[in-house]
Amino acid sequence: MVKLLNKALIAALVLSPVMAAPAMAATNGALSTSSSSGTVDFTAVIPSMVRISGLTDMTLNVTPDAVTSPYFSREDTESKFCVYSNIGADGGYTLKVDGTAGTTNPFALTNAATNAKLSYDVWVSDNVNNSFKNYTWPGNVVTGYKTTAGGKARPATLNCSDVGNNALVHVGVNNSNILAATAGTYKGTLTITVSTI
Amino acid sequence: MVRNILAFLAIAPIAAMVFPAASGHASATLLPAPMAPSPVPVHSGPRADLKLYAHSAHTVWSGSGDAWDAVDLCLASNTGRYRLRIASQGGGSLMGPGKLRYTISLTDGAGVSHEVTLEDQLLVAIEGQAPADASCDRGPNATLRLRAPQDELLKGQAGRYLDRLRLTIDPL
Repeated sequence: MVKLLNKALIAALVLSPVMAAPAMAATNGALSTSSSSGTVDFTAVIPSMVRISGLTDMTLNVTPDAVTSPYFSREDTESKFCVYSNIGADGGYTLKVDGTAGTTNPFALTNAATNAKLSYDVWVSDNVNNSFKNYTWPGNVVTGYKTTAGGKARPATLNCSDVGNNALVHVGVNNSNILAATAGTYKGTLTITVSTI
Repeated sequence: MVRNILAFLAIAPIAAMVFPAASGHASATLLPAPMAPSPVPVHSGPRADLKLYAHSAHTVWSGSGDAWDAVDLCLASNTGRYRLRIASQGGGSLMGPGKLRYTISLTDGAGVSHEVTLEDQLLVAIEGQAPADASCDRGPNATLRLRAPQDELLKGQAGRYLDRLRLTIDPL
């Protein structure tokens, strides 16, 4: 069995205070027998913010039938999650995936008992209907992502309870690598970081 | 400062009559005897005054929870009661890359809190109480608070939002 542990790094960037000082253009009223008027300005600044949430662990259960299938040369799984961004009408952001570097493939799982590595591939997408939008590797920053890319509305909640998950991470371990590995449990951690543009 | 000047102007004509007698330089023929010792009211009729002070607290929103802000006011009426009309330039919303709905509340001079949801109303009126004194010499006696709820802030794009409120006080 190959186990892939996927954990999220929540990146919430607060760039500036939201509420600035009000009454910058305040004017006072005058004493009057009828009415007295004044004005006050209230200013709110919403900073650029982005947040990832809802990531779940992924597990690949490798079976003999699967790795010997003539139709598939790789064992895949994926996890959908939520990205909130208030940058522009489209909710723009960048995404980066980090993890243990592999040898034959960009990432690697590790067998804690033997310290053996099992390399694998990672794709990411800002569209839950497109699992293979961008192939990525440790340190690579995927740019131009939008929370509206899949035709969804920009989330107005931090956990996408209004629109549902809008991004995904997809992993795949080649059958050739699985067959070359010794039996055991292999684990790894992916750190996914979303950032303001 | 404006209020003080107006008060002085209102007092001036009366003082011109009273002062000669008080100082002993006026003759009896110029100033009727009953007017000299009697307390002459400086003002008459209902009056109101409004003064805005710097905001009482600088609220910083960290990305969660509601955002608050407040401005201290002096709302004075010599009747002890007033109507405060609040007109929103943004029609009850903070205007920026989009619209942000907010609510306001007023704590009047008697400590009574008035909650107001502007919604799409351009104008709301609050009837409040104040000490029966038309003077704002003693500083603020009321607070106007603005609250933008978190769910509304999360809907908004990043950017600057503004609304201008015109406050008008009428004595009741």
